[in-house]
Amino acid sequence: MTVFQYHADILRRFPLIAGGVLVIKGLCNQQSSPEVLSLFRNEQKKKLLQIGNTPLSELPTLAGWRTAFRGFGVDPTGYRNAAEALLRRLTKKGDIPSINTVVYLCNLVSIRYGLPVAAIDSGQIKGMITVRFARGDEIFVNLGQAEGDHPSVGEVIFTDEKDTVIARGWCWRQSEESAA
Amino acid sequence: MIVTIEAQNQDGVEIVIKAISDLKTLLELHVGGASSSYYLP
Repeated sequence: MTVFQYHADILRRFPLIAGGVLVIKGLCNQQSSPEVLSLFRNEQKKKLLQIGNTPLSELPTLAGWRTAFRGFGVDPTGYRNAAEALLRRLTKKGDIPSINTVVYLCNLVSIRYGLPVAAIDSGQIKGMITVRFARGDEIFVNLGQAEGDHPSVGEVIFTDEKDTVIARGWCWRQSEESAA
Repeated sequence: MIVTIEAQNQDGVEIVIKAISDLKTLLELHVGGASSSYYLP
């Protein structure tokens, strides 16, 4: 079942984009077990060793995202993609906090490959998710906030069929209601 | 739940396939459920 797509304008502007989609039904998300916590901590240790003194901007996956962000007019040092934000937190603070098993596992894979992973509660959205350029009149409510704001014209957003913004800045921020 | 993993670099397709495979395995093991996957574009 197709639940996620790129608008043709996105594919034209960003020909290197590669997306993988996982649709999961009947899962039981909960607080993380000691086993999951241990897996995540081990992944963090391995990644820190692997990165060493390499600047994050030189990791090929993150460099690709930085180029894409510039392609829709966003400064990638001011607005970091979700994977870079996690790895930056890891290299600066030594640990990444998470809230439940699904988020732990998504973050684990995100830091392993240096790719942004978005987990979206399908019960909170309507129909197909489309990645497209914003008109600027859509409404986005950031995680942890009650008030919404508008994406910039031309910014890359995820929207559902009601035009609800699920993510801003492509993979910069996810909305309050869609977060798993 | 819908999970997306995206890449914007030259080897992106291969990396995304590996990442989806790893995450599918981990989620099925630790939170259960039935999952299916596909790739774009």
